[in-house]
Amino acid sequence: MIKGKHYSARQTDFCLAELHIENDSVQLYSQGNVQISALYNQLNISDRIGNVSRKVVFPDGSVFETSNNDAIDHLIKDNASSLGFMAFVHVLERNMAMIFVSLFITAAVVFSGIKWGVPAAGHIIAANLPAATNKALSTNILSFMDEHLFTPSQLDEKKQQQIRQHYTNSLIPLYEGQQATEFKLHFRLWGDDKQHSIANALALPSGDIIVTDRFIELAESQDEIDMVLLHEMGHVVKRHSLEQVIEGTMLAVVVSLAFGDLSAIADTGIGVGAFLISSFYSRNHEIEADQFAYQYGLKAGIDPNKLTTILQKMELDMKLQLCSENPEKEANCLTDSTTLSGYFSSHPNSLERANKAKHFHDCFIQGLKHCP
Amino acid sequence: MNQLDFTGKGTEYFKIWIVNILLTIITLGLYLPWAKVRTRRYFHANTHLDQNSFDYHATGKQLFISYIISVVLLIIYVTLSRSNPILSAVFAGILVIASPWIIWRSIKFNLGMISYRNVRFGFNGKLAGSYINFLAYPIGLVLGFALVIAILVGVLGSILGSLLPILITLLVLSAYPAFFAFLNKVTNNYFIKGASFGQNNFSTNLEFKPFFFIILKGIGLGLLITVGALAILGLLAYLIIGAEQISNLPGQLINIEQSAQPSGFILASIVLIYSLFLIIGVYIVSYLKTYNRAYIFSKTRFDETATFHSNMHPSELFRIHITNILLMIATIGLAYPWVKIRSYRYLTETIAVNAPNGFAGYVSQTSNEGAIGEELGEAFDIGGIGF
Repeated sequence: MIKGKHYSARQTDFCLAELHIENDSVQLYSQGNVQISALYNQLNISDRIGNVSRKVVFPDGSVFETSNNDAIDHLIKDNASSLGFMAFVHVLERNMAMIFVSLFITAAVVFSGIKWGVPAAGHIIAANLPAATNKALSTNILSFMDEHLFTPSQLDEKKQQQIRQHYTNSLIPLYEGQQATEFKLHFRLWGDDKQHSIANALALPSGDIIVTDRFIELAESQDEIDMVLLHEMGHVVKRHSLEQVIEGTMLAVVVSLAFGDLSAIADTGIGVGAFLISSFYSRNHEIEADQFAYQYGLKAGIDPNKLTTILQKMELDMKLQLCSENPEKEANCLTDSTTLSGYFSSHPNSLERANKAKHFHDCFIQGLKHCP
Repeated sequence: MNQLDFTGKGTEYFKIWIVNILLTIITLGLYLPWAKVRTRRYFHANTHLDQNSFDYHATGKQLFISYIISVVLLIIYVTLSRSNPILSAVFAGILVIASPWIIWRSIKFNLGMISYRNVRFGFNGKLAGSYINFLAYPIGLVLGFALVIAILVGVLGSILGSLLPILITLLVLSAYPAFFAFLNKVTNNYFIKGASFGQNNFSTNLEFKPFFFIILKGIGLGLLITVGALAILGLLAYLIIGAEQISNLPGQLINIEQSAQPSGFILASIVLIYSLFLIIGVYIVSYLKTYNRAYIFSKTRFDETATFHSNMHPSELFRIHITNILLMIATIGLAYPWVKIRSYRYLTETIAVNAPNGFAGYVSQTSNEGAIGEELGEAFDIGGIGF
């Protein structure tokens, strides 16, 4: 016998009632009389969730509601051939060991999904999209940057011509990829005047590689320029921009599905998390581009250490520029840095980079053209 | 007056939540609609009024198709917004035009799936009303205001001269709260007047002025706290690190994009200022939510006799929000079930209902709506209207 309330069909009116069970049929008693009797398989019983009250719907649409969940479970167990999937879900929910297993699996899946799953999926999708998608990403970017960031290069024509020729004749042939990306070199001045310009090199998915005047000035040898150009080619060949779009999309979709019902305030916290994750991804891209440069640099017989040298020079130059804007504290400006900021930066940790460089440098010293 | 009563427990919900996540992961997301149904039933069925419970009746199957559509749309939207600005603008435009329909369907579906004492709630608002309140008014008001400003500039520009920018700033500053107060008024009127329970309707008569004053007070309070906090912070900074570093700060902040390694001091100040604004923001949100709800409840009737009252207090709501954020950070999200139970408990248990005639004699007027609008609304986070 199960105690509960009996609601008339689709109405708020109810009276206290008792449900009596006999084998595969049930009788509903209220006010001392049998109100309804029905067979078990005519009933519609709601799933168990925690300890919320259960509802048994009779064929006439009236509803018996009870908080005696265990008795209802018993009724189902005695009659149904299978308990149904939701009963299995409830068994999971009650089992403490299963809860810990779920917790562990969830944590492991979330962690490895972020660390390996998203980049791997991004990599596969990016590699399989047609070359046109990659190109479409960079439409108008160069002209936009020309308008807002760059001024025309002040490097003399001869020097430009010489670098370009060396690039087309010696570097591009090194990479014999299946897809014929058209690599093109552009010279620009980044900044308003020569004294305060920025040393940098960047690559667009279309194969356009932009080098700044200050960078050419800083480079002390052709090898240094070549290594940076190879690094940028690495970004293009590995389709990093496309990967970034795909990875960002996946993160955003998963986050908005998982946390869709949180308030805007909690969203800001999630935004910071997503930012940290995506800078972790772009660090991976930098490392991959380094690897590309080392590999093909070795093929051309360039010392891998040249990449480290020129990158350090560019970073130092950037710092000097910034420090010179506050001359009074220039002395400690250069040493002032924290390890924490490493997490915010898209540049790989210098130690990680140095190890990679050393590995390839060892190969170089042994005169190898290929490094395992 | 009878208060609503919530009997959900954090530990119990934690188990439901973690199993939901596990099954969602194993099924690569396909289980999500069923997980949602379980969660909603848990919350609704644990909510009581007069010892009688509410319930939620949608099934996972009902939510599934629209869930798939919304995931596809979401992927298209996010991909476009990261790769093609023109197409993404077109897509966003289509979504904006469709959004009143989605909101309307979402309200209709969600209310129709909630019951109290075996009888369903419902929504009889017209689709046209949704287009007027959620699309025509917001766009019309902004365009109208822009027109007024343009005329002012044209007519008075030469007369006022340098006073004109000040006048425009004042106009914009006062138009902003008025805009939101007006939208609060029309959307809440639309929602409540359309809502029904059984054969009877809810009614209300919300006006512009109270909403406007609540927003004004909220903004004033926010400004006051911000100025006070910044003054204290500035004084502390002056005492601790001296004036020289402070004067360097703005320059360094501007350069942070280019600098490879910002100093620890700058990072600390960014974190400090960020959390300060977060805390003030949470307080203002709590304030606005509390007083808006109190006003809406005080004006709302059901079946002409039943009245409602909100016992929410802004500082208590603020305390719950802040401790929730701290709990979430400290447990990297594991405290989510407890956080949700806490907020839901406070939001429901501060609702009081006075129904002199009781709730006997009501009859469901059910008509089952499709679920497509519902899930679409959830994916794009625009169905945020609830109790």
